[in-house]
Amino acid sequence: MSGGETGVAQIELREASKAFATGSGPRLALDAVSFSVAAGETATVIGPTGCGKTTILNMVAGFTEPTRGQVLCAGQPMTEPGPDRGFMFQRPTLLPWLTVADNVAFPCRYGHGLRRQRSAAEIDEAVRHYLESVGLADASDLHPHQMSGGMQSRAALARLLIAESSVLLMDEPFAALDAQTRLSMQQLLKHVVKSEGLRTVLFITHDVEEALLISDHVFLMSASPGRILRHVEVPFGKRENYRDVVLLPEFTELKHELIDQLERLVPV
Amino acid sequence: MSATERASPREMGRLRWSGLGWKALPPLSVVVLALLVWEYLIPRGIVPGVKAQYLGTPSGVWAAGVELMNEGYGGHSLFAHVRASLFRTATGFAIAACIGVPLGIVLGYNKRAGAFLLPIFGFLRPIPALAFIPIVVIWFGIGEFAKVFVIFMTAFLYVLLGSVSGVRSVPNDYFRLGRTYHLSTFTTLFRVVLPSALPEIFVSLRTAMALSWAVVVASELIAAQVGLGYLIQSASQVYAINKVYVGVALIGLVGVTIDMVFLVIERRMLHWVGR
Repeated sequence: MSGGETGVAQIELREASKAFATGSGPRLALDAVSFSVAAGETATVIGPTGCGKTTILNMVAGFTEPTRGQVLCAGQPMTEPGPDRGFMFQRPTLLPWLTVADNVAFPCRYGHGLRRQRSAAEIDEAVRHYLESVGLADASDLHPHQMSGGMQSRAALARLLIAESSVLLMDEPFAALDAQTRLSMQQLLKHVVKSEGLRTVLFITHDVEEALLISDHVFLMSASPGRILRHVEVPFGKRENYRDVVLLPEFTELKHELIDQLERLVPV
Repeated sequence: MSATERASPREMGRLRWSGLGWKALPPLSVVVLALLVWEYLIPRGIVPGVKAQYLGTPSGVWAAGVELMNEGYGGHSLFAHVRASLFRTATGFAIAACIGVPLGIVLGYNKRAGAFLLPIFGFLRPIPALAFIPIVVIWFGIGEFAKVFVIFMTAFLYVLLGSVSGVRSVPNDYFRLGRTYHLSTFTTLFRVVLPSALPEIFVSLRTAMALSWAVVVASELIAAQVGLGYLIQSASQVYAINKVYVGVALIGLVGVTIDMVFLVIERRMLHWVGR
């Protein structure tokens, strides 16, 4: 399956399978999954719990390798993590002993192999820029425990963006937020990704609406073993204002269709 | 604030009294009552099985305290006794911390090295440090080194295993963050693992310090010419019960002070913990 005809495939899975050893022998988590995401596009994988969504993300990140098949980024097989593929975790994963500004600066200060080597002054400038773009300009001196969950997510997003990774891997990063904050984070992500130039995003979520709001492509998966059931090209993926999108009849129709399909996968 | 809103000094006094005074009153009255009973009733021999003169009195304790402050004990000032015990504890503890924390971090971080050594330390830890004293006396005699060594043994195992556990509880996502941005091993250890493990390391240091303080007293009971353990042991041999009380109270006081110092340092260094 191909995600987008324009541009080169930035992320590509070719018949990627993953088996895990369990007490009762190997268990197939992913079965010959193939898809690709073109540079600059946002793709979301949705599916029931245990369908291997996170495994896909971990393979692209290089945290784990496929048992069979290939996982490629910019044509290269992924065998280890690297700063070209930034990762946003389910929890903000900010370092609690550092201020927000130091957390955001962390990849630039201590990382190796980033796209750009910055001087200390340039790092400060970049931290200011990214904190501003996620709406945390006044929070730079706060520690994570002094901030709400939403602010922590914003800070984690700023830390993800500052490294200028060409691929952003996001593992249900907004799942723990309240509905209002989640919506504003989705808008923010969409806006920042579009305005920051060519960033390819692979996003994992349980939430069909979230998937449709932020993505150009949605891949629906089945569980045990994980397979891709359906590829949806989202026709309104480029629109930035969510109100323009959620009011569209096609949006509602597609959303319910996907929810129905998901419900059939997980009998209530 | 207008004059009418402001409480008069008298009212303020009453407010303060009602806030703090009433809370302190019940426990305080119990203490006063206990002291009165101890001073006036216990010397009449109302405790069966113990001779009244071995139970002491509050006024006797006060007098013993004043005497110890002025004249010292066994040829050393009271301060010299405290200093001797503190010095032994601090030396043994400091050596234990300097070796235990780095070694614990390495053994916690490097699973292979940990697999070699940790079971051995895990076996040694539950052995009460006091059980080492006879062995250490045979090895090193009854000098200073033996006492410091026993404290070292006590503190070292606690600090080491606490550090290992601290490192092992570093969230896996921190390591993934480090791997994503290709952090060096040095940076990972000092910028991620150490700060993350520090709260647990600190708890182990505090526990180790409290244990060390208990053990120094025990080791001084056996063979020492100076120190708080020596003071209470020696005073008890001549039935100077009030001096023993003063010594015991001092041991408690120093122990609490040490713990408070640790707490203050902990709050300052680990400002993010528990928030």
